[in-house]
Amino acid sequence: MRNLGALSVGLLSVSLLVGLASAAHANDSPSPVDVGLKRGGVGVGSSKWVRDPQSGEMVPVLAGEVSDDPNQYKPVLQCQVGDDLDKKCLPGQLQCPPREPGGKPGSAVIWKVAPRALENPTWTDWKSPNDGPSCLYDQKPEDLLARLAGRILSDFRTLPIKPAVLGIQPSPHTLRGAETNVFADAVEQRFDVVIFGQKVRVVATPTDYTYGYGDGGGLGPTMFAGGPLPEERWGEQTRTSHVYKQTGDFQVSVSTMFRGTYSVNGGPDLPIPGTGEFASPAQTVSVWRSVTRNYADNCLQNPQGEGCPGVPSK
Amino acid sequence: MNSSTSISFRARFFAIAVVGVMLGLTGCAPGDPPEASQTGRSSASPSVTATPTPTPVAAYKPATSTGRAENVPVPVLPEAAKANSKEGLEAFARYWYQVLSYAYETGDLTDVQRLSGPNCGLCANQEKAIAAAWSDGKWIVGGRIETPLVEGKTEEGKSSQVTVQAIQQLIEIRSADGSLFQEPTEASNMAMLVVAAFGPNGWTLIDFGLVY
Repeated sequence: MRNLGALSVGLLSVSLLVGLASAAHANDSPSPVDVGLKRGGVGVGSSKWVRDPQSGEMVPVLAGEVSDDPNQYKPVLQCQVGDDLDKKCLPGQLQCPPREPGGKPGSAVIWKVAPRALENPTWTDWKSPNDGPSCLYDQKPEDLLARLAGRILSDFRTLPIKPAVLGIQPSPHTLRGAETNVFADAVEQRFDVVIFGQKVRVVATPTDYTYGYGDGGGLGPTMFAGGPLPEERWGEQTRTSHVYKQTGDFQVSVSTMFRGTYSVNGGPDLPIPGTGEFASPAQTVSVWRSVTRNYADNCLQNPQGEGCPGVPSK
Repeated sequence: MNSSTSISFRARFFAIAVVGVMLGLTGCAPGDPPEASQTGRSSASPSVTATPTPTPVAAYKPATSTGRAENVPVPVLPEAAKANSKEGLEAFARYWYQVLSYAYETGDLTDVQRLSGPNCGLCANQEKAIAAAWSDGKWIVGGRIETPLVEGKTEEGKSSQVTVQAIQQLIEIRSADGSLFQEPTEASNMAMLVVAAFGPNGWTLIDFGLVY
């Protein structure tokens, strides 16, 4: 599975993309039509492709595994200061009113979008979901985004990102030689922060998990978070389960890798170049040994037998 | 096939000029003219070849909130798309997107269905969505597709692949009374892959999908 992960640079659940489909119109009797080449392309049943960075070949992505945003973005300031210190503006005046009374107006940015997979693509205008212009409020808007890009990763790593909730089944006691199911439950998180005076929205998405079972064994980093089993299936092997060979108390841990995007003043979600790792508090699991004894009678025939209700264990 | 492709060049170029003027086409790269006949699906007649007089051409009119698109040029398989070569493959891929674009603009799925391979999931999905968008007297405004970048790759013993940049206009679905049926689908700018195979009947589409 690590090969696939490397291919597509990092994987997001397909549900995020499917979630882009817009809601039904107020007129709710006829069902909405998921119309358009892109909506169809992200839909279930459509083939999806990535370029293998090693061979350069296009390879299909397996069902349910879709890479992140296929786009790249490029900001173009509506007005550029030329070498002669003349301000040259593109047609179509977007207004960036001051953010507070008496403040300075901002500089409008036109974001361009193109598919990431192509060399020399045709760029089109990116459209903000809120229809407004994207604005920068800074003395030097020309290099503001570059400065932001330079520090976004370190800011990302200091965000109060909630690590995964660690689950163990059975817990707090489990058995030597049995499959103990260990799993992580982490969620996407949004943060609104201010960097260089700009409103920056950061979205952190869990991508990979590293498990420590406390007995020297471990797993990962893996894209598998695992998940809970219904009680009647406890003891089954899962992708993230572990068999303890020794009895004793062990500290089980999981560390979750998050990837992020950031949007500046309502602009497009730009990828954060790097990841942050966030550890969950460790949990103690007590590993016991089990002893099997066979008896000729059942508890009705011999209510005082070992293991029958009300009989103290020896 | 020759009969329909040899319709007077003057008529063809006039048609292209009309389309260009009407739309203010921007993605029309040199050497990549929309290969289209202006005669309409039903009236393609072989007799046209005899006298190369310009047939009166009904002007293309894109759809609006008050009416459907009119006289949308029917895409014609270009001669170049019949060759088993990289260029032929690329011409075929361009043609496929013209056919798809035509279906969005007219609701006519004849050619989409003819070209779609049985295992092409996105083909089926597009057919279904376009049919739904054109049902009950509804029509589509926008939805035209342009392909500014088409890069084919043919290799012996492998299925042929074309990387395509497809840009689709915003799509509005209008109800029979002209009202907006649902929120419009935003314009999109995508990298796509077309997988095709060359057989006795020329190129056939096996599959196509988004590139991430």
